[in-house]
Amino acid sequence: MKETHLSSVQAQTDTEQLADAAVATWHDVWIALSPVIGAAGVVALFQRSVFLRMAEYPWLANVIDPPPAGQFNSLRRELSLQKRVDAAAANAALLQSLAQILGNLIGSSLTTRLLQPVWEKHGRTTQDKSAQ
Amino acid sequence: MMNKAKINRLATGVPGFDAVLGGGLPEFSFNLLAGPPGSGKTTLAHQMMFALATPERCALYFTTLGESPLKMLRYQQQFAFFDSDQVNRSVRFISLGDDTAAGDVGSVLGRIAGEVKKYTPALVFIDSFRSVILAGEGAGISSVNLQQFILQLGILLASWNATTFLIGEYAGAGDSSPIFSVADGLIWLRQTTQRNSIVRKMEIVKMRGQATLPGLHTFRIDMEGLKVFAPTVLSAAPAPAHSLPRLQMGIPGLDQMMGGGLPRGYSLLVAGPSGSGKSILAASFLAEGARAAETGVIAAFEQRPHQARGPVVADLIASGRVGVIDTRTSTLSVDEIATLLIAEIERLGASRVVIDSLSGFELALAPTFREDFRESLARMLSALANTGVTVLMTSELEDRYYELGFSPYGTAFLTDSIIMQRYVEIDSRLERMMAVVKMRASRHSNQLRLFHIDDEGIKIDEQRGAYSGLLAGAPRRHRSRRVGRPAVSTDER
Repeated sequence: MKETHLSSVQAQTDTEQLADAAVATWHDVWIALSPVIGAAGVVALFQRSVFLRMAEYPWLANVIDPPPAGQFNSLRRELSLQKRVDAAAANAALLQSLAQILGNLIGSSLTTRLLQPVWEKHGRTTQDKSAQ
Repeated sequence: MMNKAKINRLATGVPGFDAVLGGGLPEFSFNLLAGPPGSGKTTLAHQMMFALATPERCALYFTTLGESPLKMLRYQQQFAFFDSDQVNRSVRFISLGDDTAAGDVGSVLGRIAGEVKKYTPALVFIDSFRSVILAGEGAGISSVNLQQFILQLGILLASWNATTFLIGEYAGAGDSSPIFSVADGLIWLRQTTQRNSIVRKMEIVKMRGQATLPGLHTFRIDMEGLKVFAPTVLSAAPAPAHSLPRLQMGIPGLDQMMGGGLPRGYSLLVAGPSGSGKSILAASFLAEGARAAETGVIAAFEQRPHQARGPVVADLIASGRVGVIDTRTSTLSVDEIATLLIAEIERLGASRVVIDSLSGFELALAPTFREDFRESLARMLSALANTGVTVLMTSELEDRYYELGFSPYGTAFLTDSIIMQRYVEIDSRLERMMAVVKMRASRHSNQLRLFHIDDEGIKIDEQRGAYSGLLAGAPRRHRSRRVGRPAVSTDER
């Protein structure tokens, strides 16, 4: 699922597009999780993911603002400032961290159950686009 | 003329709970599930939800400030009933935390209404309902008051045909809330601590439209979820003994003393002092059953059950002809033991049951149940009689000469038959003596018979002349049988 996502983001032609695609994925993560664990729950998971990946990607320190109602503006801005490869890798790492933290708390089976539609949607979108 | 509204009763999937509710959960009812923190409210709600929800008629589980959804999901999935595959298919968790935090009860109601319209659930849970109310009160900005909120919620969910559970921490029945009068059902969970034991109890304070089982019912929570121990139902009087087949006791001579054996379905109390051979008699009873291709169940309440059971019973258990009730905890209720016994009887198709001993049984009970021991025991014996089994119970009895007592619990009257064992001094030896004291609606011997125990079990001795004063523990042998009425008689009533 992460590889699929990674390839989906890498398939974008420029960093701006990559940042847009990343934020769209995060928005769907928000839609999938916030009804179940609440906005505060998703914000906490997102911030923890950012914190964990800061050692590898120090520029993530600038992603400080909690996303209000599923808006990931500061993430979008920071991704668009990076090289495409770095931005794609960092975003994939963030998503991986989020799934991992959630999995540690509620188990991998339930985590997959909640996030699978997101991975499927974004994986499929890429495949469709690459087929064109 | 319209027919009466038919109330469907849903099977909750919680063992014993439907019986306590009076046949299941009334469909479309608006219920309050109350109790202090840790009493099992959330677990009971989840267990019912996973049992009842289907993709067509799904369940919505609203969490509020009272319950962190991540923590709730983390811990609830440890239970066997939690099925991750049902999440977002037949079961949906919806967090109301943000709406609740804002403090406007009106907006919480709007959010619930929106989700209910979106998913048309058959079941709705709000956990915790009370924190919605407290948040509203704290913020003081509610657009609707508590009473309106409850009323509107009730109307909304009934009109959408949703069976609803509001879950809340309430300290006790003294705690008053308008919800108590609005709710169709009021289920109270309690946790009581007495001495070193904690016992969980449930009470159906109210359930409109059906007769519930009154009183407090014990329940236990393990990895399977809740198990409620519904009280056993009193049965009608047993059939007359002469029409019943007789079970053999496995002790030569004893069946004759009992008028041909123990009538099937009877309960027998074997009372006697420590070491007099009660457990050996019980073992013979089970072994004789096994010889006749019958199965049995034993509930042995001893400190070290494996050593105390003896080789005969141990072999029967090992070969699967006798089932064992696990009685190691000291927090049991009589209803729980009855439920375990009946389950084991049904599993094995057992016809003989041994409870060894009542004294140990009482010690195994949580202190809070000991006061009701006699009533509960009567109920249990009756329930066992309903299953058609024949029950042998032993009772430890101090030897009190000049006094004819059979049971320290006044349980003697509960049983259909009684065998008494005693020690007597004869020729400078401590001998054992046994008599059939009671055999309801049946002829039996009135002899006091000496017996001994060897490697093969109990052997009833040949009569060694006539004695008097056996009951006093110091018998005298009669030289002539013409002096008065003989104390030992071969007559049968």
